[in-house]
Amino acid sequence: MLKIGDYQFESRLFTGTGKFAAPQTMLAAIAASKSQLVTLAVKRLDLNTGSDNILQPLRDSGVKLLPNTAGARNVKEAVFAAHLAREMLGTDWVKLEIHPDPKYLMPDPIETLAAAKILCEQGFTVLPYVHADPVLCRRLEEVGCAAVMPLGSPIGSNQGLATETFLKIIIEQANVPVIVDAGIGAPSQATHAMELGADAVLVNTAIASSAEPVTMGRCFAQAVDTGRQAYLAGLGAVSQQAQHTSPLTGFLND
Amino acid sequence: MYKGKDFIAVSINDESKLIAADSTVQSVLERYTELRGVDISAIAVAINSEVLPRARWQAEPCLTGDKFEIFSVVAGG
Repeated sequence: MLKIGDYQFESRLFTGTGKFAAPQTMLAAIAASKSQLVTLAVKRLDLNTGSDNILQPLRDSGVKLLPNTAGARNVKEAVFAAHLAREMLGTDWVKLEIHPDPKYLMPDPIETLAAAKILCEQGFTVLPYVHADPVLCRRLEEVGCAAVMPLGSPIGSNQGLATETFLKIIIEQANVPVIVDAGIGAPSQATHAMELGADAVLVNTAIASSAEPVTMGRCFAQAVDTGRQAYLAGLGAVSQQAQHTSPLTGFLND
Repeated sequence: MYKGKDFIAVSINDESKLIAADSTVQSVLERYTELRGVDISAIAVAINSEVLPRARWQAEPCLTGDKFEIFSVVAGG
């Protein structure tokens, strides 16, 4: 079981709710993925169009809700978004994300660390989305974050684990769960993250933008489970030279 | 059209609105969510850039010039 804060998860696959073609598809894909934690965003209500009312069906499905602070460009906006989310959803969990750069959506480490400190002091359970920076992840742990969410590659890019070398260091050093977030584009990449020892992965675009999101949700569930079991079983050592798997003596030449 | 003493001008998500002078935050939010089919249990509100806890909506009076910002959840990653 994965424990984050005071909550336990059987599934190590977390999912986002964005980019799905229709709410029903999103709900079905999340069900197929067996995810128990889904992210949501906070947005100003458009008085002309209303809202898409996705909250009640998600609540009914029993998944835990993780509001994010997407759209926040600095500490003040992120703290504001976290407080709005807490009022809206009745949760003190928050996925802290501050990425002012619209092209690559790179998380701002300085603003993120400052906001994390404030929100932790205010009693929030903070899961910060950050670059795969081992030093930053330690600092976030020190200020009280419940987990860290380093990126594999840019959000929505499906490029996989471009940061693998640094993810390994983060996983080795962390005393809080490490959730690889962003950029995981294929089930095989999720398996790989789990084989490295990640505690969980968060996937959105790869499921939502598939031609068959429900099937893809199921594939990711299997992939994460496989990777986790492989990690627990222990991968064999890598060597440059061949290591025979059959006895090489005593058959032809004795 | 309206008697000046009975209505006050506020802004709601950047739109100027006249509301009854004796409105509470709760009554304003009920009106705006009901009109648009939005679940009132799924919103949050900031007034003059301060998040107002749900427990205070009922008692909180509205003042001329108040700037309401109503937020809801949307899909996101």
